[in-house]
Amino acid sequence: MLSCKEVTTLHATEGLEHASWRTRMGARLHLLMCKHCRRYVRELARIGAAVRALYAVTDEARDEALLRRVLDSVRDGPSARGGRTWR
Amino acid sequence: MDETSDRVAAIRARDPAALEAVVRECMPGLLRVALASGLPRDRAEDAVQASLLVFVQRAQDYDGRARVGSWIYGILVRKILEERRAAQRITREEDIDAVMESRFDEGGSWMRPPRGPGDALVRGEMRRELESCLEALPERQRIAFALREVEGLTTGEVCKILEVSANNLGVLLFRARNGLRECLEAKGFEGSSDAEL
Repeated sequence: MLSCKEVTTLHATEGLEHASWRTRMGARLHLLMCKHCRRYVRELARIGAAVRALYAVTDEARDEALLRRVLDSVRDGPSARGGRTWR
Repeated sequence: MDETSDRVAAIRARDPAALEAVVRECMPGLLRVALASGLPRDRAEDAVQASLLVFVQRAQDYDGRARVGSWIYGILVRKILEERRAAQRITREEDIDAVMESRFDEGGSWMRPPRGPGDALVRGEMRRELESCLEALPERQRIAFALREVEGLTTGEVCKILEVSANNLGVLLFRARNGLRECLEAKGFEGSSDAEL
């Protein structure tokens, strides 16, 4: 039987990905029975989603300006080797 | 996700259309990672521009073994680390392992079960708290979290980009996730009621 500590560690480290079938089943069974670990796993998922949402907002005008600047600088800038340019 | 051999050849031959396509394709993700790694917008833009410039300059060295995006993320991560060091940021090295340890009894059962952060997080009401908890993460943990959780790269890809083993990445992610969770919980955000679970 896996302990709460083992189950939460497997989740936070993503160790389940490489775990044996037995461990994966054990972790799943544990979650069915343990509301604290269920809450823990759910909170991690929420944190991930909240951070993704935080950085999903884009500033299209600025992004476009940056893209143009990057394209201009790589087209015109001398290359590191032999002074070759993009074109 | 593998690159086609035609595309690898075009990149290596420095075909302008191929290089421009890579720049267009990779820029949004690179910018997202730079921001999520804690660089302010203008520094993030500089780091992205510099990384793409390095990519274009070294395109002939691209070997096609990793996705071209992965290769550029690797260049960006080095720039981010340089930037953050240059800015002399002091990151609080919280010993999250000890914090986590104290939450379980000897048998590994919860002694202090998790509470928050809960619904307020989902509703986006705690943006500022979330940002300050992210700021408190040591830089490598934050970058690992950005690549894996914000960008959604595979663990294998993140290992290559950060040049760490799968075990090391697991430790970085464990610390980042628990650091954020503990930090948000400490700010007093309670989880939703048990009835929902």
